[in-house]
Amino acid sequence: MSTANITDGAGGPPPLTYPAGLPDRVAPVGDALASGIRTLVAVLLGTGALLVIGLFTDAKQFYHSYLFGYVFALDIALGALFWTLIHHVADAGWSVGLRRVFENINRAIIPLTALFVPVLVGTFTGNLHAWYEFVHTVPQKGHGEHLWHVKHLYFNTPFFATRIVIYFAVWIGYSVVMRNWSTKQDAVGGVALTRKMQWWAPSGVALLGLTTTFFAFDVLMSLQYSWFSTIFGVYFWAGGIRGSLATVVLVVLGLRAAGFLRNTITMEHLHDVAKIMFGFTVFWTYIAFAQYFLIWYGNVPEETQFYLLRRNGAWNTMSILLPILYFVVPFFMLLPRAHKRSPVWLALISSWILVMHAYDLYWQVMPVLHQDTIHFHWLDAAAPVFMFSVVLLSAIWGFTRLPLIPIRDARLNETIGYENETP
Amino acid sequence: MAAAYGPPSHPPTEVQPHTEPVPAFIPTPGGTGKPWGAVAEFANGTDLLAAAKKALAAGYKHLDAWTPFYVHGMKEAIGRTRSRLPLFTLAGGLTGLTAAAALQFYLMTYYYPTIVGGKEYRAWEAFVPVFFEMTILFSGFFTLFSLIGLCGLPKFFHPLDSHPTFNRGTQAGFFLTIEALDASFSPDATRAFLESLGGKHVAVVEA
Repeated sequence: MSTANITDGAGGPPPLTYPAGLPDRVAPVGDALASGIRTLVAVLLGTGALLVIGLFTDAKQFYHSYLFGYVFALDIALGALFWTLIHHVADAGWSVGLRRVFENINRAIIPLTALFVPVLVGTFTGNLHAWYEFVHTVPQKGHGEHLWHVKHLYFNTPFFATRIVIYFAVWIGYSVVMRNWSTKQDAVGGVALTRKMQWWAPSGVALLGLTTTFFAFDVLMSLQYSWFSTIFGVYFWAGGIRGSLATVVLVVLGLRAAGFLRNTITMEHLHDVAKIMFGFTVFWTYIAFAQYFLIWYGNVPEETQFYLLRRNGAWNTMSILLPILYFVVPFFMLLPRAHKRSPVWLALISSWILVMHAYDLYWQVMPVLHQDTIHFHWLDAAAPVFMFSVVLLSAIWGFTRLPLIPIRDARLNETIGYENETP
Repeated sequence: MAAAYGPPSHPPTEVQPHTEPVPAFIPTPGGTGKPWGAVAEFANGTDLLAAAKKALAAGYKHLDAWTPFYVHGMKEAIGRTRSRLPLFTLAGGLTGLTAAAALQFYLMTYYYPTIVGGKEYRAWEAFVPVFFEMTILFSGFFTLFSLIGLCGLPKFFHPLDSHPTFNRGTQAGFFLTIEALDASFSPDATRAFLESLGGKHVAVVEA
């Protein structure tokens, strides 16, 4: 009979009782990751200072780089929220141990909400989205540009601001509510809260799908406001879902390297995450090609403008390399079973996918600013590093204060004893 | 007592005795007179797993386990390594991709070059759906047919069908077999060995 009573340091939540017989210590990590946190804070402050310098030296470049870094991180946080919800929708047993990792990564949505303000400033000062400039230069009743006349019902300041508020309200709402129920279950146990989360998760998936799609339309696609692509939201989502899986793998590997969860989240679980990562590698390609293929075949000017812009100078090379580096390379890296079960390979593949995710988003955002060819700016490196540090810090913050797995989930036994089928 | 986290263990069960004693050598209709192998029935998956591990340790290689459901760890316990099936799938995928590429580029570029929708002859984008579909189709066919081949199907009769209790293998029976192909196989010694492992209804079946 060994049930340890460990009181949460914050004082607010009720004292937790840890179930006996767990194969690992799952209490909050406390100060065990302090050096890592200090490094991350230093990186955050350093790149943050660089961003401030960038704002005052080259505003237009700053806003574009910032947007690129911002969507890179937000994509990952939203992907983690999606995984939390889909875990409940699928009534999954194997991923119970991973759920706290998802929940801790989507914690980043709250700081990222505050960090969205510079993007809004960029839009409303005319530094980012072309439609904003257009709204204020073309007379409202004129037919100077017919396309804008049709689209101004969608692209105008009040409606844009309203939509942004709705998106963040949905994201924060679902991430906070799901996390609160999950942590409440750590104390009270039982299946009532699991049922409750399962009841709310499907609506969350639907709303998350819609808001993410329209967020992608509003913030990325509208950089070229005259461009049409109905699949763009899915493209954005496919990138984010891959990026978030890569982040999940890296966070889990980091925790395991620090000595946590070694027998709770085993290579069996990581193998499955890698299988999903492989699946979404193919999915991203499917979506990316579907978008390109239909636009190429249709050959309609307002659709082809996106790809025409990316056929100039070094952008063309980057466009050709994108499917090779972001599909072919990870596909063959993830194909052998042994790679999906090796921590070293998994770390390599996940880092590769994250870097290529940034590459993909850079390719989506930057040609709008530098239309002739690539002009790599140091801000383009500082912004994603800054934003990714925000995500990692938010996740680690959760691990220092909450149990590392949902300790009272009814299906904990299923996840801990989980084994893959041997082929 | 600490809660047990991990795969559940099977409850202890016993092999139900057969109505009449199972003979030591079971003839097969139209058999060759030579033994196919030895069979033993066990009470549950846990017992069968333990017996299989001991048989493997004793040097037997042509082992097989027959269970009504998947038993974790059984594949390793009977000495099975990875299946060759994924290699066939990969071969199928590459064959399909190559065939699709060869067919389309040859037809559309050299044999009967045609302009479709104002695109050039070598409009590879238009070929991609066919690349994809042919890859999937050939992977699927290669997987299916090599699976059937590797399993030795179709098979209308198996010597084990003569064993009087073997039909329980789909419901509640757990069987371990050691085939006569095995270098260490000898009808009497192997049967005695299976009995020493706790096997019931032990018999040698005619091939």
